[in-house]
Amino acid sequence: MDALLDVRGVTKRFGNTVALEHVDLMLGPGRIVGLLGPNGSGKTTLVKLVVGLLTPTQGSVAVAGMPVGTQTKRLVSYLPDRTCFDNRMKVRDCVGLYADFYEDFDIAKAKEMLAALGIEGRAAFRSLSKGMKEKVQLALVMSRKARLYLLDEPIGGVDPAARDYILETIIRNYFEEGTVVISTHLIADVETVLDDVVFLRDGRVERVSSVDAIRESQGKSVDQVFREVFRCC
Amino acid sequence: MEWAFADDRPIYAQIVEQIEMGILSGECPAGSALPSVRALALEAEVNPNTVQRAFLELESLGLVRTHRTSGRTVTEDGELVMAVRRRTAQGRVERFLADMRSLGFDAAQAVSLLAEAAGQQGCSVLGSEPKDVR
Amino acid sequence: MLLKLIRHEFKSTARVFLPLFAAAIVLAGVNALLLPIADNMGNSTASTVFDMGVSLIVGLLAVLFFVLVSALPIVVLVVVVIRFYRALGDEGYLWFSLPATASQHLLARTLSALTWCVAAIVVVAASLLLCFSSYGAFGVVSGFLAAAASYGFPIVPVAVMLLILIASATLMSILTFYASIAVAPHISQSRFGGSLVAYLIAQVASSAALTAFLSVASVPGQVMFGSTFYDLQYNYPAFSDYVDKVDSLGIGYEAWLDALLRTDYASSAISLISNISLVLLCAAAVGCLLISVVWYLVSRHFLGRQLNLS
Repeated sequence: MDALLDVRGVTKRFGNTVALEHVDLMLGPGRIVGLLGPNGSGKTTLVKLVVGLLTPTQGSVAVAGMPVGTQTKRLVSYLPDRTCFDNRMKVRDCVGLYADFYEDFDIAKAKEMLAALGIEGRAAFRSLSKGMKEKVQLALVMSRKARLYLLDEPIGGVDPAARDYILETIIRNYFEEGTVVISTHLIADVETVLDDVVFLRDGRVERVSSVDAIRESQGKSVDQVFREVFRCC
Repeated sequence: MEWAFADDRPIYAQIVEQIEMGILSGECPAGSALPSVRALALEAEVNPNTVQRAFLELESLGLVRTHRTSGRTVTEDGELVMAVRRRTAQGRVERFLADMRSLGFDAAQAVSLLAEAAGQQGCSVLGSEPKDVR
Repeated sequence: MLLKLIRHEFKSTARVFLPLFAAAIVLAGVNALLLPIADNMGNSTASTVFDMGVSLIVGLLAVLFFVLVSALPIVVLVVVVIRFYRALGDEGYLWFSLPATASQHLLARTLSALTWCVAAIVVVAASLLLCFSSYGAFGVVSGFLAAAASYGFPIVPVAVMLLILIASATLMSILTFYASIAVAPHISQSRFGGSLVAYLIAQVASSAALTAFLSVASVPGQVMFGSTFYDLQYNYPAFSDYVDKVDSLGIGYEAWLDALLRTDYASSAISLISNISLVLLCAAAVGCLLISVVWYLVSRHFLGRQLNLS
């Protein structure tokens, strides 16, 4: 049985900078995993490699046994850390786009989520606040029945109510064959929702563990351990 | 139920503790239904896997029973609940005695302090069984 | 997936371009109606304020029309290029997460771009004709074409070849831009700077390649010219003798020209010119197409295996 995500010996260089170095990582289904690390540790680079927006300098990435490509993009639902829609589009156009291009997209679910957020279909994307835009993108991403969800900094820069909404959405959409990877540097906010954590530092995997194991063995929360491990001075 | 989790222990263990307390205190009566994994996960804002693990633990402790079609319910085994209650109370007592010791009171002094406090609260002391909680 | 991308691309771009095209046609129609009126007013001696006001408005509308019409093909190309540039920016996070190959993305955008650019040229031609229709533009053009046809000039093949050339040259322009934008991240940290540098290099390379190709491809034309010219000189009496003969007959210029063009000499010359034109047009089109293919492959490479979305 192939691992859901298999990253092997991945190195990524941008010119002279090394963003990731010899990264090995395997994830199975049905888990909510935190990809944790300070800014610049390579989290976004790793996520983009899995999505297929970047190609590794060395090493390989496979999703459900297939190398990253058109077939794996069908299985991966990606929430970028920025707005990726043309501002002139209307919300319902964005929904239409997802429905058109992704077979696993559940239109009813998306509409329900957007209605719960109080967002009208005919609203122009540019008329929404930053927080609203992020929620719309999250609703679209979570309305897909994908095998692997990659959420890049979903809670950075949002108010606490929005953060709760995001965590609830993740919990509500959880199912056994799917795995959610949350890349963030704000650990305290998501820790209760995580099964496992991957610590990234300077482009290398520092530690992979379950949240329970860390709490049991060290008697501290992951957030506290993280602060100690990544103490900056 | 209000959910507040401490940092130093796994969350599933804390869920187990809190539900256990609920059962012992009567907040979750015998035979009452427990929320589904998903509902509880949403309420407590935790991972469904964590809730699942907590439920499995509660089942292995015998405090919760799983029915194939109707979900999970609190056990109706009154004796088991009583036994857990006793065990928990004993733990509390031992901790109380240890705390008193660290304050410099031996067991006899601790007991008389206890009787004094209980008298002030209008409870009868010595020789009574704990009341049956509904 | 390709069809979906194409459909989506056309829907988004139609919203921008159709209104522009409509505006061009409408302005053409308006000018077609108003210009004769303004002309007539200019002819009368009485010039009231009202007359001056009207001619001012008509003049402005005419200027507006000409500005729109001359800018239209360029505006379309600029919009198309900007769309592609944006698609590789933040929007790229959306597009390149879709389960579509680089080829599919590229083909959809190229097809849409080409259609709109060629359509813009057609709309410009049509609206110019429309604008001057009240001055007999249709008549002049069709008369010219009919006359050319009667002298043996193969209008249809030349027109078709011309259209193919226009399309190929447009395709080459579009793909040169696309390739530059696709390569940019590998050249510089700044996408814009990288695109600019890449475009300058690509444009120089394309021009050089096209020139080289044409100088080789025009050899058959030169050969034909040489042989027919020799043929003409050898087989027909001197052109000047003919001119003298006709001069002495004292017929008017138009009749003279008509008679001249109906001679065997003229028809050989005409077929020579048309053949060479066809060969050159064809060669240029082929050259453009070859360069387009090269830029397409370059773009596909940098949008596929080597994709690096910042």
